[in-house]
Order: sequence, then structure tokens, then C-alpha cells
Amino acid sequence: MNKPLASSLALAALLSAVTVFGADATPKATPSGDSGLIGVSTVAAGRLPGPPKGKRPTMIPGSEKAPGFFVVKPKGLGRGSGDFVMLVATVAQAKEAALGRGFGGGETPANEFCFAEEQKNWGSDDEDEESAWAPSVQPQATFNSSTMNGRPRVEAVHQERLVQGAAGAVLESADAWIDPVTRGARLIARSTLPLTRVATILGGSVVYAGRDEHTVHVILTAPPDGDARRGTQVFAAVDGGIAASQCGYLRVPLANEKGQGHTATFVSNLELAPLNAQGKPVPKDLAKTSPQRLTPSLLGLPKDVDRPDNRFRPVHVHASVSWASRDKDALLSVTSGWDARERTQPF
Amino acid sequence: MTIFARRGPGILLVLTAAGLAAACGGNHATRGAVEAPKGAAATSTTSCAGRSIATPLGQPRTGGTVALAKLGTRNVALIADEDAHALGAFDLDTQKELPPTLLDGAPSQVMVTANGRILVLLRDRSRLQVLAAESADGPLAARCAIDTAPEPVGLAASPDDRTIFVSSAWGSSLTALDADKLTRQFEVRLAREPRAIAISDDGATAFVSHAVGSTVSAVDLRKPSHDVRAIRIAGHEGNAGIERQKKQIARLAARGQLSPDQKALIDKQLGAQERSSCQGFALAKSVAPGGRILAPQVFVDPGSPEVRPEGYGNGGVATETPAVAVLDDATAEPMEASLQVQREVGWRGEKSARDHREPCLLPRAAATDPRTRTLLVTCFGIDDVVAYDAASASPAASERRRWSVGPGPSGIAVDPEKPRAIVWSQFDRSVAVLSLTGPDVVDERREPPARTASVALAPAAIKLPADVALGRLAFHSGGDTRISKDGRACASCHPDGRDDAITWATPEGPRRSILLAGRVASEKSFAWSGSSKNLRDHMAKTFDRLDGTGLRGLELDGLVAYVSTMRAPVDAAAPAPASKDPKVARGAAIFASKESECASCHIGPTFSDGELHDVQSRTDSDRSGSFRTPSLRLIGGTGPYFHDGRYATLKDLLRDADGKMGRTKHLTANDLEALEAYLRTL
Repeated sequence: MNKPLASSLALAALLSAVTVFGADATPKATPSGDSGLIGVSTVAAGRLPGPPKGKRPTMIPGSEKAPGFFVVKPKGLGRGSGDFVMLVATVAQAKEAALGRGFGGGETPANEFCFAEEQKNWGSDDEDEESAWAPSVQPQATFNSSTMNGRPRVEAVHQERLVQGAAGAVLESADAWIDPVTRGARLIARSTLPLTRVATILGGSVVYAGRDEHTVHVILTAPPDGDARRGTQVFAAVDGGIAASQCGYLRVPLANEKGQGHTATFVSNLELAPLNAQGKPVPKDLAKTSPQRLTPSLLGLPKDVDRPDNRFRPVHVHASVSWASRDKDALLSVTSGWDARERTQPF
Repeated sequence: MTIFARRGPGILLVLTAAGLAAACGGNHATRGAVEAPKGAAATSTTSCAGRSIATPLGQPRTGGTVALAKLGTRNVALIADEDAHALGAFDLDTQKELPPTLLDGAPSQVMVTANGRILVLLRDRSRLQVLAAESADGPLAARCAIDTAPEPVGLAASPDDRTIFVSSAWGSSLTALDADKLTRQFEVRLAREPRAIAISDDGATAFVSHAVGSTVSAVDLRKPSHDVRAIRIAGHEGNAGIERQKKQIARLAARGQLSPDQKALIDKQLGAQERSSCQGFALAKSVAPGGRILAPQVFVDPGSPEVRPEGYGNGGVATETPAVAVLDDATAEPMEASLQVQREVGWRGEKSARDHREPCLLPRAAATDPRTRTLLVTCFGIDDVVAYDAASASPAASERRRWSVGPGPSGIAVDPEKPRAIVWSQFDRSVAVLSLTGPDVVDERREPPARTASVALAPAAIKLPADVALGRLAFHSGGDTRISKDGRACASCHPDGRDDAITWATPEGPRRSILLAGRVASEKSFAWSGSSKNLRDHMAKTFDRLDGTGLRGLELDGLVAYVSTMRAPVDAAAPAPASKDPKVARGAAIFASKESECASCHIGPTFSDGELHDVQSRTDSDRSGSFRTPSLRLIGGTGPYFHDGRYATLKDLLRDADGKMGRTKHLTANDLEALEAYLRTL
């Protein structure tokens, strides 16, 4: 299957079973106060620092490198593209990029690492304004050596990787200074954020949470559905803005403030099991192995009447961290629900 | 043996012996079928005492149009059936209707207290009726009736069950009564149109929602002065960039890098992005987690008064968005996240009829289910019950599921013993039982959700005329493209037939919404410009401005009938009687005097000559400076005033309009008070 096409169709998480806390998806029959809520203090704790404060280097020598941060001049970016360079996480990706592959097409190795850039109003005179990591993460990052609009030459960049295993999950991260002119990189710090499994959504999407000093990081993974996983896009509305990820998961930081609350809503398009004329799910192999799995009608081919329509339904997962005066602890709540009615796409 | 009694001519008054003993004030109410009159005249007693075997199911301590109770071994839903002037009853377990209790007025809310009393607010009689269940199967007996401020609409009890609270919509007040003696403890004045009441867990604060005015009131119950604090509920875009800007501006101002004028200008620009709120008909207390008051609202963008759009409002963006404000019940502060206007993301912005689900723009009742941590909100217009995450800092962003119910769902109660919610739909007089079990997200084609059980109550002896009933449906119809393109209903700008207290940007300039209830039938022309000579014509223009395709035939006839016969909040059918209050009498004399010039335009039964006048009130965006003399009927409850809402209060208007509209400069402060007092009687 064409991964970019799959991702553009946003074949995302299979979601169900709202408000799964621990392993119990069924609401309790008898009310028992705060049961089912997660106190933030029970969420695993670690570190996930923001962009470094203080003086930034004016340049990084080209000879200086940092593991996991490969700054490459991709072949074939073309005339007029300025001094664009690409940041990738592995040697293999760097080689691919140097050959002109690995962005927007072609065979791309699975990306385990994702990058977020430093975000700030660079033109502001306000010296006290702090920068933050951009909410969106991508398998690669591009930089321009131009310093227009007050943008500094050397920027901080954040890299993270979600590691899931039988024993649990952890978010590994590393931050570095990048100099797009010299292509040098300098490691700033590494950190680890252990994660607590908060909810399990039908189809395999998982919601994790981890906390550092004043923030709860909520992560939604795409379903572990083979080739759909890594290209799967997940969006989130947070703080009035939008975050997006093509890394198979999306992390959203929610501030933990007494007397206040912060929320994020992840949105994705859930692919439902295709049904035959009797309304029964078709065998999985039939659904997936056809060489013309996607929209022969668009290709001008006759519709295979035995092939079921593709079914999609937008769904949202809502995460909230809130701390009212009477709460002994801040509360993390995760729920989900259908975002709109089901849509079918004729095969 | 049963008794019923009703007001109005030609209605029989019949009593049983038990009713004779229990009745007071001429109000007799009992449960059961109609029987032949026994011929005994009604007697009355003011006794509120008497045994009652009713107990509330759970500990809701708030009123609604549905209240759950135990009567002996039977679990029942008591239903305030406003149209039938009756207290309906529904057995929760057999799901069968029980005989109703007929009342002497239109019930707005019912609540069962800890001491077994069944309190019913009679909205049109400004009265609190007390009933009691003397036996599990016998009729409800009437006890005393307490007069209230005009139009009682909300009930609540304190956590210690020692105080009952009553909110009065037209009376703009909150009254506290001793729960045992039902004697008045105190009364406080509130902003316009109070509705639901919720008491904080510690009993220190009464929160009162308001149908209009972007406000929730917090009343201090502990201080003898019972101070009232108006909590502003205003939506904002919640843009991360705007938040950074606000912080930056605060830092620059703190460092002296911004002058006060510059900061005020920037604050004004940022404030212009705030949205008003209305439709605050309901409140719910979150139990799991506790300490939060949940206030369903709608955020409104009425457009800029300096701009003339093609329709009503901003034109380019969603005019109204649903919201649920979360108030900390200890600090009475709203969580900022709950005030963020919810924007649709990505494909969520596609509103194709195929897959878009209509938003809840007319919330009317709310309840929480602690088992599932759900806030359940009933929605007029779309006739759905929507479930949100009650533990979220922004419940409106967390819709979990929804159910379709009968039209006009005005009440909901959660059964604490079984995972279900009971919903009363006034417009088709049906009771729905919603199952609260099961996951929220299922493949509905493979696992169809359980059908909602719905039972229609038997036809009532009192019922709305068919055209009026049809018109009521049309008035509240949301997501109806004949009314509007963006989902607004007539009730969006005219909640309960009132006005929304908002000034809208219109093609003619800024225009205040107008109160409809009790006024329309006597008007000779409509709109501030007087351009519509009849209601039908005015409605057609309104649909056009809302980008609706328009109503026709029976539905249009019905809408006209409904709007024309809407009951006024208080009886304004007759000219204001000569008042025995000397202050009011003085005000009437001033009003009629040649010096004040009020009566030169405000004449006749509606206090309007129906003519256009230029009172030097034109703004830069008004097309014309002449406006039709508005009716003064019910003027006391319709602020802010003037076509653009420039005067927040009547007092401001009377003081500042001198020389432009009438003359008041010559009046003393006492005279101005008298004039205002008189106007409030109209």
C-alpha cells in the first residue's frame, strides 16, 4: 500500500471504550466518589525539559556532532531553495537524504525518532519571552540558514522516541543545538520520561501519561496495525492551536496548575471493519489483500460488487488535567467519543 | 377518591374529605382520575405540616422538571407538566404512567425534600405549592402554598436540608426559605433572568445561572449581607498566540514599556474577541470529582457594532458555539479552559449533512452521573441528550455520546440505584429512559445501541391548540435550514420568548433583540425600523437574514400563533392599574406630565405610538436615525436599552437621554426613582 496515500487518508486510531482507567472499561454500577479518576501524582514522573534558557551559541563547528542528530544537505532540493538542510536521526536516513530520498516519497525506513523545533516569536523585543517546543512532531526537520526576522542561526531542536514494551513505556528524548550553516550539532541534554498506561482504546490505540515538574504529557498512539502505523497521522487541538504528527503517536503537554485546567482533543479518522451485504465483517484477508484495495472507481475501473465499501468515522480522544480547590490532587481525565457520523467510501 | 381543581371560568372545583382538610388558599391538588363533583366548596388552610412518606431518590437537592422519589416501595419520576398544569408520575420500574396530580397553575420545577415534601413551583401563579404523599398509592395531598417573587423557576436545598432556595425569573431574585416552616429567611436581587440553582458542597455559596447576560451569580450564604457576585462567563478564542500576547503585554506594562492608554487600547482589542454567553438555563454539580459547578451555555459572536453584515452577527464564523463553564465552587472562579470557544479541527470543519452532528445550542437541563463521570445535558432544538466528561476542564470539548429523545427535553434526572437517566420531553409529553451503561464508542452498524425506551403520557385535559403546539416546535427548531443556515433557532435570540440581552450587528446597524412574550399580539408594526407591517412579513425577513429558506403553510401559521400567544412573564394584558404605592403614583404622574414628554410618544395600551422618531441616537453604522417607538410593556426586565443597548439600566437611560428623548433634567433623584418604579409596573 502506498504509505503517503494511506496517511493522507488518515487511517488512524481505532477508538472505542471511553474512559478506560486501569484495565476496567465498564462504568461502575455503584457510584463511589472519585473512583475511576487518575490523580496526577499517581502518574509516572520523569523529566522532559523545554528549550534551554540563557545564552545560545553563535555557531557550532562543523566538526562537532551529536549522536542522533545528523544535519544533511539533501540532494536535489533545487535552485532557489536557499540553504536548506535536513535533520534526521540515523546514519541510514542521512545517507538516504544525501541521495535525494527520504522526503515526500520513495522508500523510507521506519522512523522511530521524531523532531520538534523551537518555537518563539523571534521578532519580539521582549527578552523575557520564553520559547517552547513546537507541538507538532515530524520524522525529519528542515532548517534554513537564513536569519531573517530575527531568527537566530543556531537553534535548539528536540528529539523524542516512544519505546513501548511488555514492561511498560517510556519517552526518551534528547535536545541539541543545530547550526545549519556548518551542519554542526551539540548535545544539550538527554532525558527520560516513564509513562503510565492510562487508557486502552479499541483497536489498540493506547493513551499514556507522564509528568514532570509542572506538566502532564499525554500521548496517544496510533493502532499497531501494520503498515498503517507509521504513516498514521494524529491531530490534536490544544490551547487553540493544532498539533500534528506522522510519527505513529502524538504527545501533548498539559500544564498542571492549581485552580485551573488544560485540555487537548486528539482527532483521527477511524477505519471501521468493512461489512458485507448482510452487515457482517468481511474476512480480514479479503479486505486487505486485493491489489485494488483503494477506490477503483477513482481509477475508472468497474466496481467489484463483492467488495465492501470502506468505512470511516472520525473520533476524538479528549484529555484534561484540572485542579479545583477542593481536589487533593490534580486530576487527569481521558474520554473519547465519535466526532461525526460514519462515512462510507465506495470501493 | 380524587379531587381536582383548576383556575379559569367554568372549571369544576371538587374536593374529597382529605382534600378539604389539607387544602389551603383555594388550591386543591390530588392524584387520580376525574370523578363527579362532590359539591363541597373549597376550604383553605395555611398549614405546611403533615406527614409524607415520599423520600428523594438519591440526594440531588436540586429541582427540575423531573424529580425522582420513592413512594413506599415504588420508585417514581415526578414530572412538572407545564402544559397540562399537572404533576405527572411515572413508575420507573414498570415504566408505566401513574395518575397525575392536577395543579392550580403551570409547574416549572418539582423537588422532593429530605422531609418528604414535594415542592412544586407554579410559574404563572408566582407560588410554591407544597404537596405530600400520605400513602404509597393514594393521591398526593395539598399542603400550603407560599407566594414567591414573580415567575419562580428554580429550586434547590442546602446540603444540611435546612434551607430551600427559590429563583424567580421575572422577579430577578433568589429567596431563601426555612425548609421546615417555609418562612422567608432572606431575598437577594439578582441580574436578569435567573434560572437554575446549585449550592456549593460546604453550603457557603449559592450559584445561580442566568438565561441571558453572560453571568452566573454567586450568593454568599454565610454573611448576613448575602453579597452577590456576578461571575462573568464570556468565551474567548483560546488561541495560544493570544495567550502569549496577553502575557507579553502584562510584562511590558509591568516594566513600564506600555503607557496605560496603550495597554487599555490593546486590552480593548483583545477583549473585542470575547464572546457573550446565554442560554444559561441549567446547572449541575459534579459529584465525581466534587467541588465543581457545571454551567451549560452558548457562546455568541453578535458581530461588531461598527460593521453592517448581510445577516445577523459576524457572518464569517460560527455565530454560536456550545460551552460548559466549569466553576470552582470554593473560589467561584471559572476554569479558563472551559471558557475557550471550541473550534472544529481539520475535517471536523466540514459540515456536510451527511456526517455533521448538530451542536447543542439550546441547553435546557443538566444532571451528572457519578458512576460514569458524565454530564448529561438536554438540548432543545436538536432534541438530543448529550453526554460530556464531567471531570474535564472543558466538558464541551469532550462529547462522549448522545441520544435522540422526544422534542422539548426540559428535564433530566439520574437514577442513583440503576444506571439510567430519565428525560422529560415537554413538547410531545414523553418520558425517555436512557441506559447509561456500555462503551461510548462502538461500531453502531455491528452493535446497534439499545433503543431508548420512550413512553408517551396520556393526553391531558389541558393542552395547547394544535397550531400553537406546532409553532412551539418551529420556534425551538435547531439545525433547521429553513430557519437559519448556521443552526440557530428563534429561541436562540429569544430564549423563553424573551430577548437575549445582546446587541447584534445587522444590515441596518446595531440592534438589540426584542422581548416577544406578551408583547407581539398588540404590536402594529415590527422591527426597530417599523418596516414590517405584520408578523408574517417580519418573520420572512428574519429567516432571510439568517440565511434560512423560510417557513411556509401550517408551520408558519403555527409559528405566528405561538409567538402571538406567548404568555407574558407577568400579566401585562391589562393597562397598569393605578397603584396604591405613592412612589409609583408619583412616577405615573411624572410620566404623564407635559414637562417630561414621555407620553408624547409612549401612549396607548402598548405605550407606543408606533411611529418613527429621531431621538438623536444614531450611531455611525446606523443606516437611519429614526426608530419606531418601542413598547414599554414589561420594560423593567429587558435591559440593556435603546436600539444599540447603550444604556445598561433604566436609571442610566432616564438620566442620560434627557433632551434627546424626553426631558428628565428637571427631576430630582427621588423623582427619577419614582419614574423608574412606575416604568417597572408596566
